[in-house]
Amino acid sequence: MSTLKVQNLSVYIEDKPILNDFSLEIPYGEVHAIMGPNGSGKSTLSKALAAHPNYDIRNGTAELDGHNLIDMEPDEISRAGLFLAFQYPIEVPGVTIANFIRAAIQARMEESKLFKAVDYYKKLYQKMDDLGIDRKFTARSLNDGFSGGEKKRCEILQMAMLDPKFCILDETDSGLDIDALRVVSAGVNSMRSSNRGFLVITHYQRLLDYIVPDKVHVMWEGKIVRSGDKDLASELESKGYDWIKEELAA
Amino acid sequence: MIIDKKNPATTPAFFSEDYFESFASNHSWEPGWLVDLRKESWATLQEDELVSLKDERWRFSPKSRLSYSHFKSISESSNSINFDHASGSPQNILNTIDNILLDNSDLIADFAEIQGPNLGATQSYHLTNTYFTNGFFLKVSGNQNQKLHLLVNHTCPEERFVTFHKNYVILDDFTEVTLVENFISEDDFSRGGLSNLTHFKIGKGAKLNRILIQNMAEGTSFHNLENFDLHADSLVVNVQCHLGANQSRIETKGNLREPGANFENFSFVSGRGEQLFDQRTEQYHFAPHCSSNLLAKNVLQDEAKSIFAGLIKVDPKAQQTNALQTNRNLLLSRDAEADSLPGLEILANDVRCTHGATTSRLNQEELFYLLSRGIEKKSAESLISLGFLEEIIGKIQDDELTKRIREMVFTHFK
Repeated sequence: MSTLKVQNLSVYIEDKPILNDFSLEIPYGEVHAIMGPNGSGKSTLSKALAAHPNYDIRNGTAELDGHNLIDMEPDEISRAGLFLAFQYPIEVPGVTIANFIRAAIQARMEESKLFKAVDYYKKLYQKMDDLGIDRKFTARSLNDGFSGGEKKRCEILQMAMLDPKFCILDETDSGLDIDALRVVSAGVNSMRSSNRGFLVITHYQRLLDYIVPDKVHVMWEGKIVRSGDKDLASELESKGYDWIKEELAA
Repeated sequence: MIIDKKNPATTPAFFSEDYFESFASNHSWEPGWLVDLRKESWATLQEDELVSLKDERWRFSPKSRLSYSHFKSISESSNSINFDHASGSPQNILNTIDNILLDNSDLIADFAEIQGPNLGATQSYHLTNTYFTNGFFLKVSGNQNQKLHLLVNHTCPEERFVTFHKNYVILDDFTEVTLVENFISEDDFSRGGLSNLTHFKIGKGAKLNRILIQNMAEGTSFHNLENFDLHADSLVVNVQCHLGANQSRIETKGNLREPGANFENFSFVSGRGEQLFDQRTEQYHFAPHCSSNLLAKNVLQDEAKSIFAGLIKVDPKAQQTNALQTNRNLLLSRDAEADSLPGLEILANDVRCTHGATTSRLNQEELFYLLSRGIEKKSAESLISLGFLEEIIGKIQDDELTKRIREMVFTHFK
C-alpha cells in the first residue's frame, strides 16, 4: 500500500534546527494526528513537506506514492497529490476563488483536454453548499478580508475540489467557532477513504472529537516522542504537555 | 533641417525642408488655418533644440529609444483609422479628420488653437501637428435615448514607417459617451511607429468613459499625448491599458477648468522583454471644488522598465480641491525597473491632496500559496499580476472588454 513516508528528516530555518531526525509513516486510508506544544515543529513539518523555500531540508527523505518530495518544487508536490491546508491562508488581492481553483485544476489537466466550465461550476457550487459557503464568494478575492472561519472553509473547499491523495491540515481548527468546526470536520470526514491519507496537526483534542484519528503522535523538540490511539489525545487534554516533558526528563 | 547629431546618417527624410515643402504642397487643399498650423509647427520644430537629457520632464528616460531616427518615412495611409461605424447624425458625429476638413471644417475651427498636454514630448507634439495625415473627430451633441458606445481602431504602420494621428473629441453640455480606442499593428512583426495627439473638450455636466487599449506589436514605438479640458460638473473616467510596443511615451493631462469637474485617470502597464513605458501625467486644478484621482499600476517582467512622473498642480484660486495620485509597481524579476516621480505644486491653502508611490517585488508567501496548489510558477505570477491590475481593469464596466483585456495580460506570461 502507498504511504507518506518521512525518514530521518532534519529541517533548519536560518541555521536553527527545527526538525531533528524526524520519522513518520502514514498509510493511505488512515488519519494521523500530530499534537504538540508551540514551537515543537508541527508547522515546520507541514511547510517543509510542501517545499516552502524558507525551510532548509538538510537530511532525510520524504516519499509520497513513490515520489521523492525532497527534490521537487512546491507545484510539482501538489500535482503529485499532496495538499496542505494552511494554518494562516494567504490573502491574494484581485484573484477570485473561482479563478484560483480553476487554475489549480487546469494545472493538473492534460493539455489536450478541454476545461469544461459548466461541470466545474456545478462541482464548485455543490462543494460550497456542503461547506456552507455563500456562492457569492466565488467572485471574491482569495482570503482578502475573510474571517478566520471563512479562510478555513475556503481551504477545505480547495481540498475538496483538487481531490488530493494526501492531505495535511495545519491547525485547521484554530479560529473556528463550534459551528464552523462541525462544518469543516464534516467536509474532511466526507473525504476520508481507503485511498487517501490525512495528517491533522492540532493543539487541541476538540478537533479530534470530530475528525477521529487512527493514530495520535506527540511532537516535542522536532521529534515524535510518543504515539498511540485516539485516547492519547484525551490523555494530553487532561494532563497537559508537562506530563510528556516530565517523562522525557526521567 | 534637424539632424540627429549623434547619428546624422540615420536622420529620417521627413526632417528635411524639401520633404516638408513637398508634404505642404500635397496638402494645399486644406483650410488656410491648417496650412498655417503645419508651417508654424514646422518652424517651431526647427527652433527647438534637441531636448537635453537633463530636462526634468525626461528624467529617467532613455530618450534615444523614443527618437524618430528609427523611421525612414511617414505613412499617410487612410486605413490607419477605422470605426465600428461612422456616424453623421446631427446629434453625434464620428468621422475621420480628413472628411471633416473636406465637408465640415467649421466644426474644428479652433483645432489650431488648442494646446497641450505639453509635458515634455515637444518633438512628438510638433511633428504630429506638422505631419498628421489621419485622426478622428467625435462630437456628441444631443441627449441620447440609449447609451452611446463608440469604437475607434488606430493601426500602427509597417516596418520603419511612422504615422501621425491628431484627434478631437467634443462632448457638448450634459452628453455622455463611452469611447474605446484600440491601438494595434497590422501583424506581429511590424516595427513602425504611431504618434497620437488627442484633445478632449468636455462640456458642462458631460460624462466621458474612455478606454484606451494599446497592444501594438512589440517592436513598435508609441507616442500618445492627450489633453482633457473639463468644464463645470463634468466627469472623465479615463482607463489606459498598455501592453504592446517596444517603447512608449505617454503624456496625459487633465485640466479642471470649472467648478465641480472630476477627472478620474487610471492606467496599467504590463511590460516584458525590454519594453519601455515612459508615463507623464498632470492633474491641473484651475478652478475650485474640483476632484481628480490618478492610479497608475505597472507590472514588469524580464528587463522591462517603467517611468511614472505625475504632478498635481493647484492654482491659488482652486480652493476646496480634492486630488489624489498613486503609483504602484510590481517587479517580477531582478532586472525589471520602475522609476517613480510623484509631485505636488499647490498654491491654494484649502485643499486635500495626497500622492504616493510604492515599488515591490513579488510577495513570496503569495507565490508559495499558489504554487502549493499545483499552479506553475509562470501561471502563478500571471494570476498575482492580474490580481494586482484588477483594481484598474475593474474600472471598465464592460464584461466582454474586461475579459479580452485579462486574456491579453495572460498572454504576456507565456
